[in-house]
Amino acid sequence: MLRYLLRRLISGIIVLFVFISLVFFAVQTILPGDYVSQFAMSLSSKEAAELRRQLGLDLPLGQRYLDWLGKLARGDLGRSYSLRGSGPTVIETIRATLPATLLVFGLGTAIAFLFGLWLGKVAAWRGPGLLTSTITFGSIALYTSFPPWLVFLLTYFLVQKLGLVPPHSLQARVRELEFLPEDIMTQMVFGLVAWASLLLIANALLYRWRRLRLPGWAIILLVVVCWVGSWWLAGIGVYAWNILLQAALPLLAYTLLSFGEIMVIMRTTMADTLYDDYVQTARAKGLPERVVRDRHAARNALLPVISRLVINLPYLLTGMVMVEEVLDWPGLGSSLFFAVGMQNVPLMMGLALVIGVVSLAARLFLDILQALLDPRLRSRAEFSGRAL
Amino acid sequence: MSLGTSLGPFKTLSRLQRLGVWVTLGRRRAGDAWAVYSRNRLAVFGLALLALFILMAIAHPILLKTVWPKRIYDPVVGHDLKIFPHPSPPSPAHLLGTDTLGRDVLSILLAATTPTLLMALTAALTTALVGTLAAAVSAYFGGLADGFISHLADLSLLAPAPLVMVVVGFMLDISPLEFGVIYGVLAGIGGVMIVLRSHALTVMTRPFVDAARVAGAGPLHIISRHLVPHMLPLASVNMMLTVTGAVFANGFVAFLGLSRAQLNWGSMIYDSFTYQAVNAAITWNVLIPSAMAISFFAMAFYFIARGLHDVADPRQAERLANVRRRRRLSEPAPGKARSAVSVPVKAPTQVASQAEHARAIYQGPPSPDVLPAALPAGSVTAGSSPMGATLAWDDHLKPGEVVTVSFLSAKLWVIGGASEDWAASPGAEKALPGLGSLFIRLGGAVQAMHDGKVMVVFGLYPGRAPFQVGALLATHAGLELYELVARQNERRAVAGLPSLAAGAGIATGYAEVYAIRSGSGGEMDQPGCSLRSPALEIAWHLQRFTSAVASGTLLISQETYRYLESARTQFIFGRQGPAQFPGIEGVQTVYQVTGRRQRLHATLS
Repeated sequence: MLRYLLRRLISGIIVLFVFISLVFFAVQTILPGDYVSQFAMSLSSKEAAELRRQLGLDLPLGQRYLDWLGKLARGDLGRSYSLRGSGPTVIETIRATLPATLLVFGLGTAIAFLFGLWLGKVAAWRGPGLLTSTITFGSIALYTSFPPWLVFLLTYFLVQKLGLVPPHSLQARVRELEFLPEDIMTQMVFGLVAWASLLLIANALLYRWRRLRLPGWAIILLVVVCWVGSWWLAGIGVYAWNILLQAALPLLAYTLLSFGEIMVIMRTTMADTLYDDYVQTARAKGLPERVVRDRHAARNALLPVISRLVINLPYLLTGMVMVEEVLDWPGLGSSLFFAVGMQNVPLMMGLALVIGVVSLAARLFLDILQALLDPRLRSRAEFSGRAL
Repeated sequence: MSLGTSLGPFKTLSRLQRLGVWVTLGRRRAGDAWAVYSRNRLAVFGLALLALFILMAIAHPILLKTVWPKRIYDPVVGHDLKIFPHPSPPSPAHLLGTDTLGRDVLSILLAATTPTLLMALTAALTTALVGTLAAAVSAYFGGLADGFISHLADLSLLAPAPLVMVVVGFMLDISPLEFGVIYGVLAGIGGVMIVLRSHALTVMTRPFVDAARVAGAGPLHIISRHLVPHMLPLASVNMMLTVTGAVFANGFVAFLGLSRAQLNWGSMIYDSFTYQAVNAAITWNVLIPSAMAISFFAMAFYFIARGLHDVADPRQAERLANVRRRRRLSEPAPGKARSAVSVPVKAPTQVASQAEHARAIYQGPPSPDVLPAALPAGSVTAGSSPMGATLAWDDHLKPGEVVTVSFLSAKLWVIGGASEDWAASPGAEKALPGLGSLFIRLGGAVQAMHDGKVMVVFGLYPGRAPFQVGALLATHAGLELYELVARQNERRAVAGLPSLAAGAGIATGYAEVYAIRSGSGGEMDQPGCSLRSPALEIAWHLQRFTSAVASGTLLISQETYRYLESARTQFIFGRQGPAQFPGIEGVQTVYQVTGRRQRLHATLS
């Protein structure tokens, strides 16, 4: 199992390397002009030449690539272009924007996943009927609704009409505080991951020793309580709570956009398992319906959902980028458009690298999850080395 | 088609005949596919939506030529001078009103359909083409080609097609067709290829591929004639799914105001937002139609993909059967007239020993007006059956509730001395070791045991519950009963004793639970239930018939046979025939089960 994951990690890193190299050349050959011609248009030709020299844009493409690689090997992503020659380092920009994306993307995906699973399970278990049709139609309608339109509706009704959620003004609110919002968000993201894994491991140990298992809702509740509680212990409570309120709108929009597909796949696969032999056996053994549904039918239906999620993850990321762009959420997505629009190559490369790493990490995580859930995969992976 | 009879073994078909066969088969297959597809109502809705969009695309040029003066209704430069101010709400002249620039919203909406439709179809076809070819080559050749293509797929997953297209559309001005092609290539080589490749790999293991290879077929022939046709259904599902992303990417670029395309639903939304500052009001008449159009367009393709998925799924036959089964389950129960008749509560004379048997007890006759008068006054408890746990009074069953059950009604005749008569002795286990445990093992609960007759219920559940389980278990139990008796008879023959006769009848159906309170001297400590059902009566009649006339054969009712459906392969069926049961309307078919091919899974024992 470990060997399989290691192999997957290594091939992933090679693919990532090829990917960023491709991006590097594609961006600079396909896109018209360069940073100076696209953005610094007010400069005279002499000043422009000087700026190009400062930014290294006068060097041949291959040379620039090698330079960039050399820096990357030393862990330096370079500096953004700016009219003064060079701006803030790319790493600074990433550190400022990544937590905001991760917070919404991670939390939103988790919520969408759990909600979609639950809804699909319930819909399949109830069988065809008015409620099931309504749930299915509603989920797909949300999934296929045009992201800017959904965001507009949410903003219009929740913010303007009802005033439930504060309008998104993250930078303005938190700027004068003693903490930087991105630091708090980093702590929030790590806290969430830590609490979730801690409680899941505790639950597994509890099962191993005592044959006890906490119900799913209890774990979720515990994670939330511990997560929110730990903010106050760490002394960032008010700020973190504020950020969470700010994040509510992008979070809601992203979750609503994402859960539909999960729900539909869950419902289809679950409906197939309902009449499988092992479900009938479980029933015949006299197990309570709830146990048959959750332990026997839903467990097996989960696998196709996860393998589909692996393929869908990039699409979810795209939805995230759209939501960020429309809502001005200070995440990777908005920076990406900023960077592409100005042909700010170092920033663009840094962001591409981060997106690549995030999707690679998410896929690796799903691989592990899949292997944990499916014993067949563990043994098969030993032989073939490839899951897909 | 009765080809088999008319053709000799060495005659080949003429070209025309072959075409005929091909057409007939194709039509039949299409009919089957449509039967599966149309079952998914949302998929049919998606198809209707797509048809509507195609109609919209066709209608626009016609309307501009005939009804709409170009000066007013042109989607880009039209302007209605008669109306002031713009934007105007819907009116007879402008069904969806006009936008801030005075253009007819409906006209823009219709005009934007064509490029989007073109883009979507191009993207879909390119995706299918690229994905299928890449997957086929990858699966067929394996090795280096496979490694290369797989890594290419991994690569494109890092750069999701919609995101790349947003960036590309952001920087370059490309036509809808080009957009569709680029998107299709990116999506086809990525996620779609991964899905198709794993399917192609399973196709490659099928015997016909080996057969073609042995016959000397080359790669081109195998890929084009064997591999690709098997991948087409799944490819069509995925090509429809990718359209959703393409439409959003295309619309989003226009929404950001970056595309120079004037005719796009996304740019309508962009315009609406942009001019919001000018109007100081939200132009809902522009926003809603365009946003709805783009969402419904994506939705149409998604729904169609779901429908095609049903068709392409190898488990479609099974799902079809499930649908039928479910439909039957939701049928009203035959005896569902839930009258408030108070059942005469009878205190059983012999209450099964004491509180340790309180659970899982079904006491007393189901109801005097259903069962023959010969039924017991006393009863024997079922013991702790695994399913018995669900039978307990306080767990699930409530009086008056409709439950689904399968009844096994069996009778053992004992010909012999009094000491052999197990009915005469209080414990049935004494005479026939294992009889009680037989039913318990199979998950049945013994309802009554008296005078050589046994009533057992299987799959007893309140509410929505599977008849299939009960029917399956009861049929197995009936056959096991016969095997048990046969083994007993062998032993008895050695010992010189007369053999036992056995008869069992099985019926499946709903039953109603009635409360029976038992206990004496005002103590109501042992609640129990009684069942009432036409199925019970059928089971009884079947059992009487088989033990009287056709000893040693298992008879099952029409309903039971139906519910066995997917499990029918487990049994060998004998004769079947019509039967009329007293008190039951209509003629029913009764089936005979003569043996079994397959045993119940070992987990049950």
